[in-house]
Amino acid sequence: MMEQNHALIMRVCYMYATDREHLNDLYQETAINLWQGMEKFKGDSKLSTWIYRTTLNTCISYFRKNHRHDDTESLEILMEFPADDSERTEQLREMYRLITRLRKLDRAIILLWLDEKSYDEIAEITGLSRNNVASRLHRIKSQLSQLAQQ
Amino acid sequence: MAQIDLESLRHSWQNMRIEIDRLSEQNRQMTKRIVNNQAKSVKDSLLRKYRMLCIIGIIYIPIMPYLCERLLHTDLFVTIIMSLFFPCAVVINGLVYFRTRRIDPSAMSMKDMLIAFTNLKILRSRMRITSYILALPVLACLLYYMYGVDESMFIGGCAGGVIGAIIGVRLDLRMSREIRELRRTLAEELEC
Repeated sequence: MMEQNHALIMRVCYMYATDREHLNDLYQETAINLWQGMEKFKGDSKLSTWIYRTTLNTCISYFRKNHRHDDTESLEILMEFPADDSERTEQLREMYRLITRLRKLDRAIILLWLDEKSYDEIAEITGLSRNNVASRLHRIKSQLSQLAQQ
Repeated sequence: MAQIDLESLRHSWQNMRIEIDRLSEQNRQMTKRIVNNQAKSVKDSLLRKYRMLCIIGIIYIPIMPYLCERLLHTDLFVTIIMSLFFPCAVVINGLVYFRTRRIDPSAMSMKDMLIAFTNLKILRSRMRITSYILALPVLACLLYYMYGVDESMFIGGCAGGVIGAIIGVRLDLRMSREIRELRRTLAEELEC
């Protein structure tokens, strides 16, 4: 299950990590929570929805005990895009930088939207109403556009 | 900076890969540890810590009156105060333990997780403040006892008490600020 959903889990953890060590920690913590939660998963939602929810919850609730400041290696160097278009690649990196400036819940909403989740699925994962998700998404996109222009 | 067209970037975003050196081997080792129940989450570590504190507190509940009475020969008031400290500590640590146990990342929605996690952090801060306040009468009794035993012990105890009080007040102020900040952040996240 971890191997099949590795990309999904890594994208989510990447969005909340501040450095490489943090990314490793979040990924491991997510793996443990998924393993421990497997018994309770009854299939009342899609597996991917459940994995998203567990991963996002892990990322927003992770107690980071020893925050080291000496590891300043940017996470951006870990990003790889298959496109040869360097302008598009730079836009994607810029989008990532802007998204990490959003609040935790907004970050999750835009991430789920980028992964082409429906409004209903986003509402189920976040616990917000469908209308709330729609209005927030509209606001987030405006906010990202404004941040991009600054 | 050119305007970012989010819609057109959506497809490219999904094709993004994130690689970490040695990740494949790390994953294999980590998976093995998880399956063998050797890896513990941060939540598990916290639960273990608070469970131990509760157990230690419970053990000391019957021991403390005996210690005060037979070994330290403290008067009745001091014995009562010292004996009450551990039941209070058990209650405090127990509250944090059960609140932590209720947090389940695989079952809660993000909104519920944010609320539960923020409330847990606020509870832990409040419990720390309460612990310091509860410790004050215990310290006062100890100092009173030291005064009756030896003057130099009493002076040393007072010096330690003053330093501890300064540290405690600073911590208290910082935690109160943190609680306000947590509430404000949660309100912003949930837009309420």
